[in-house]
Amino acid sequence: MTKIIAGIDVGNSTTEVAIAEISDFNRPPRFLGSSRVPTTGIKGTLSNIPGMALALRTAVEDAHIAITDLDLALLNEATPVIGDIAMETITETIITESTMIGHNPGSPGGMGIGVGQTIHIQNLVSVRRGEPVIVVIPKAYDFEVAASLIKRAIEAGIDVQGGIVQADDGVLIANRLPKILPFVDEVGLIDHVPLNMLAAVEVGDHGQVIRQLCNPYGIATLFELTPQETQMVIPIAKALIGLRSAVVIRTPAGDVQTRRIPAGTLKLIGDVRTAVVEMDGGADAIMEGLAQVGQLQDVEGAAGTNVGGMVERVRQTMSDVTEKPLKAIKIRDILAVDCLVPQKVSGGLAQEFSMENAVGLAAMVNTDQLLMERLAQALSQEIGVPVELGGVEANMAILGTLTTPGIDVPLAILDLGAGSTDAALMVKGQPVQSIHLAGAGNMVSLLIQRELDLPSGTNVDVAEEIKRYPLAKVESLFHIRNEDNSVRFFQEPLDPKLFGRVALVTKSGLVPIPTEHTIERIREVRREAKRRVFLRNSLRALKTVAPLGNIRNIEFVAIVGGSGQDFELSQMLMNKLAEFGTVVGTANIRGKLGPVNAVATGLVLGYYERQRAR
Amino acid sequence: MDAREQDRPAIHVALLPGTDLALYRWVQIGAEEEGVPCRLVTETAYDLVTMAYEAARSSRFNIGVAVSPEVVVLHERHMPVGKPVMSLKFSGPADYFCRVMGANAARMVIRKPFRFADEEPSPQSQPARGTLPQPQAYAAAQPRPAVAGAPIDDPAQVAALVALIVQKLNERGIR
Repeated sequence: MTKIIAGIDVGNSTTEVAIAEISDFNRPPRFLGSSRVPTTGIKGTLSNIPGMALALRTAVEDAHIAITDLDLALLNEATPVIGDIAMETITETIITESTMIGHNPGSPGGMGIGVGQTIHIQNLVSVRRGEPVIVVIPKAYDFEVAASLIKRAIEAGIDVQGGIVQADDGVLIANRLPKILPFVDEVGLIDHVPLNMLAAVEVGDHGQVIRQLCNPYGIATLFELTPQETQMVIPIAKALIGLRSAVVIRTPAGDVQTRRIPAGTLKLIGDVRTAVVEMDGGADAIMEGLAQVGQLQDVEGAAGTNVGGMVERVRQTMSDVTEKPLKAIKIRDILAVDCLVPQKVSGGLAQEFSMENAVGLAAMVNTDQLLMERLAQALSQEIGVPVELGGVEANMAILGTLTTPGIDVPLAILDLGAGSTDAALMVKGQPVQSIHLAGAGNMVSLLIQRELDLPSGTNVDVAEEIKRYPLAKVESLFHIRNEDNSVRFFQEPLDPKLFGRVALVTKSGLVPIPTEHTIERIREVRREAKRRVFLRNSLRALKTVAPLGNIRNIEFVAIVGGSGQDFELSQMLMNKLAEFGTVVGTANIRGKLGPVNAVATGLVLGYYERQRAR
Repeated sequence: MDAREQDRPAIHVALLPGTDLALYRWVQIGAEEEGVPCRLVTETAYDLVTMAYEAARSSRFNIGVAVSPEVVVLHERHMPVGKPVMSLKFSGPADYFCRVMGANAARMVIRKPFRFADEEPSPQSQPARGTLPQPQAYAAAQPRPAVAGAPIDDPAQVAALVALIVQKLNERGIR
């Protein structure tokens, strides 16, 4: 009697299948084929069916059989968790009465610092001799016209100190004047610049940033401020740090504020105690609170605040997919991560951005077995093959991982997926210990997307790609410099669209990243995101399953799951866990599949073990 | 032009016979924006792409631009002769395309990503260069009255305010 069995593992991001032939119970199953396709819809819902059907079709093709040859399909029992992520900024910067312009245009003109009354270029002729002025130049004025008007004014004895330009003409105007003056350009909303007000314009030297306007005492010196007034300009100075060019205008009531958005409080309900944490305290405060409450039972956000909305959104999404009432959705784990995200400054004149504090939150809820049973029935109807639930995910993952050459129990696995980070520990003669934590690959992508301010919602998720591939800078049409500084030459010239850009080195070639960030910055954000999500969660997960809660008591850890394929993550984990004297390696399922397909393979093996025991 | 001037590194720009010298100026302005010098050179090639390539070969930056009345071409010394880095056909005002190409030639030197003509705001929407702006163009930028809060635009609101002030004045018998 020969049976052909398929193991199906529906994950947050991919659906994996393993197909094996079991001929008799004295010989281990013979694996025929496997597949891995993107999951359709949210894990555990009926919208998974198309993805599962495609995964099965791909796998039977790989095995050179037909779907009708299958005797049984196995689904992992009670997909334990689904995760969701959200992010809210907790500070914002507001400019009132257009008191400040601070941005990094590609090429501001001239250099130095100038102080004077703002004046429209058309009124330059009516200015008294010797009066210091800052010229405001709308884009209706051609740079040559503007330059000749200013030149004439200077020759007539007017003390022109600098200028604010709407078009990208700063360099061209500055180059055509008899002396070097600072010109800030690309100021889109130039007609909002208050006229006849005292203003200061500063442009940093080449390769340098402004010095005076980002120093509160510098501003005080220029505008002759009192100590009380100097206190008021601190937010202005802070907002201008690190910029190449800036304007500060002194208006009667103008102000720049850094406002803390009332982010609210998070109530963590645990089995030991309940803790209320302020979101303002950042991620560390939340995670500390979480450690105190014991096993988390649910989370509530204060109503009417940002965090309240965030938690409710997660709950609503989960309620929609599980078709359970809102009240029945319990959040069983959260991961909070601090980040700095660029936000458009409200009231800004030149599309200014400032870096604001934000907290990202990944949450996880338990689903119940009913959902998977419903899914099994629906799949059975779809493919005409009996479908059964075949065992707890963590146990199956361990069974699958044990097919890695050179591995034996006692063994801990780290399953780094897209939606959750899971750990399981198997010791001979004891039940498998397992834990599921919120936050994994999707959270990393979200952090990258927000911190680099990348476009979201397009077909190709740029952040996702950045997470997956190493970077390179295209330095000429014939060579690139990789992020480790090595250089690669090409025989054929590269596409001019790549020139000068930071690109991803993918299997299908170089893909330019549509952003102005430097390669160093992108790399730092990418690695930091992985560190803050995966390293933190891995340690958290291993601590929970480790004997006596001490990671040192775990000797071997195998990494499985889609994120285990990451090109740098396993090294980062290895570096970290080496501190505990733990051996970490990436699993190689069935000696050839790498870290993926562990659960699907384990489902088949689990079935075989159960049948043999009978 | 003395020998030292000829030696200094610059982007070389060549014009096909019969091309307006003003187009060279626009290439030069584009490069100036990025802070890279340009020089007008004479090349003998008959076709535009080869001319750009020759200009690139004679440039110490290895970068050349050739301009015809319809097309502007950017070339680099290491590229195959027949394969220019970029070529822009004038589908709008020629000065705009020449300026973009000048900027791109400079960007090759300073290794910044290129500008592509199709990414830019439509050149037609920009004001005609070299003409003085119309008076109404800056009417909007007149100094605003120093009233606290937002300026009042709605005439009905102004009328209501005036009526209120008149009433107050009446009450106080100032009228």
